[in-house]
Amino acid sequence: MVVVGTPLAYLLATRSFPSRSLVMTAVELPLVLPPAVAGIGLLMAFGRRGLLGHQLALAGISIPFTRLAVVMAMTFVASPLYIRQAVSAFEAVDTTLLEASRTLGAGSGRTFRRVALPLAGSGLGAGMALGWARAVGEFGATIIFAGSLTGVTRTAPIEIYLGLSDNLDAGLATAAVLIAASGGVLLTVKLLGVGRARRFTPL
Amino acid sequence: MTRELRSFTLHVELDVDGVLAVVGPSGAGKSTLLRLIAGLDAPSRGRIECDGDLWFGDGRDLPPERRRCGFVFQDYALFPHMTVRQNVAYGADGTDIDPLLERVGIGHLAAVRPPRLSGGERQRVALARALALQPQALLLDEPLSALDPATRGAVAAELAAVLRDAAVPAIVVTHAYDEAVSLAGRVAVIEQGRVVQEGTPRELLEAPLTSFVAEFAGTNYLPGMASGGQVHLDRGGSVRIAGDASGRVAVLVAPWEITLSLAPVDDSAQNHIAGAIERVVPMGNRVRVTIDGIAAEITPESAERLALQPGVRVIASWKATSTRILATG
Repeated sequence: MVVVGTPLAYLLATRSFPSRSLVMTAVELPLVLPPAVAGIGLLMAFGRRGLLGHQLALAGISIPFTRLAVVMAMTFVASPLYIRQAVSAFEAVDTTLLEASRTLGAGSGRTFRRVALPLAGSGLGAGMALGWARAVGEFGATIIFAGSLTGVTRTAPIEIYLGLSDNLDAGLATAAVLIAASGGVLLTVKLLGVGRARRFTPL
Repeated sequence: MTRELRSFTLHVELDVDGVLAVVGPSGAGKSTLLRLIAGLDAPSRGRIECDGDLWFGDGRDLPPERRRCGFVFQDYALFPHMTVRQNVAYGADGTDIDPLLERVGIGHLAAVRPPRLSGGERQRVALARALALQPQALLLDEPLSALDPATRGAVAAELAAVLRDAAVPAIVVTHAYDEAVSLAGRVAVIEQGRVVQEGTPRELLEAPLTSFVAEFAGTNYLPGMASGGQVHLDRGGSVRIAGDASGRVAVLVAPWEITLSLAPVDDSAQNHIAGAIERVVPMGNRVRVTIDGIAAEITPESAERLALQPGVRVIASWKATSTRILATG
């Protein structure tokens, strides 16, 4: 999500091209899609009789109901949050700084790494936290596309759901862990954000 | 080179050797000109060459990072997340930048980040950063406009010295005549995307071709209709000139040729315009007084003696022989 999404967001933020809004819409689509629909969609695409799944099956690869399926479901629903956040973080970087970097002999790649990335850092961090939170909470798409195999594809929210019917204590414990982890991530992001803001503004 | 802008086309041919000041009204295309040279924007057609290297033209469009063209942005565009040293070293390609930091007087600031610098210090960092590139050409977009008037004079003198030492073609966009004089040997005036006049600062002052150039250089420019030894001004009234002229002309009078008096005088000064003082602006060893749109420069002593202040009615006088005539067609 971060590896592909960051350069994509940078391009969306700094270039204007005819199909920009089309790409943006495609990126945001999973955001408005109900997770269950996303799960069905992934299953249709990568399932054994799916569009791509058939080819993959011939090559001996089966994705549904594996750990990879969990990751794919999570990425699918969470990446729009990250990319949207990343686009606005890159848009907030003064374009003159990017131009200055170019005139100083740095190509697009070096400009991205040394100027755009550090300056958009706190925004990217916030986006990652949002995406992560969304991924951890993911339920609908995961259970449809990846199922609920104990120890393989049973994610925390599914554990909580199942706990409701057979082991409430386990469910509560999982929920507590999630609260602690999410709170911790949120706090870290906020602290990082404050630290950066303090460093870059005149005193 | 040529480039279409929103409301007009920028079309410029310039041959730069030494330091050239580019001046013009805002929106004339000055900043665009620099961006085209640096490669940040592409001309629609044309040719850009530097020291025998083709930067643009014949199907070639060298990206900015390969032009080695130092650019000092109007707001300096320093990297806020890097120290002064890291900023200057950014384009230095590993060469030792300490001597450069010392030369522009920012050695003691090497570890500071830009947000904590003053305007003058930022200007020096931006300049050092562009010089560290060992540029083939330097472009400066209003390098002094972000400074307060008190620091501007001193920084201008330093900048002039640094530009002389750098010994590369440089273009400085500015909007002040005194900056152009102190920084550059030649001045090009751009209006509506065209170079309307190019010459030494002295030439612009003595023979401005447009009212903008006259105003920029500080000369009075009075358009009117000439017949014989008289010019009937568009603003009303007429002035006597030396020699004959006819048709549409502009009367040029240098501000220091104009004397001011409170009562009508009868002397060899043959032109008189009476009016109320609009502004009195001290400028170093002169005082600039504006009467009804006409600027006069007199000594502070005279201003004191005449007790000049806005609203006072005075008579501005100058000799016919100090009037110059420009045919405007």
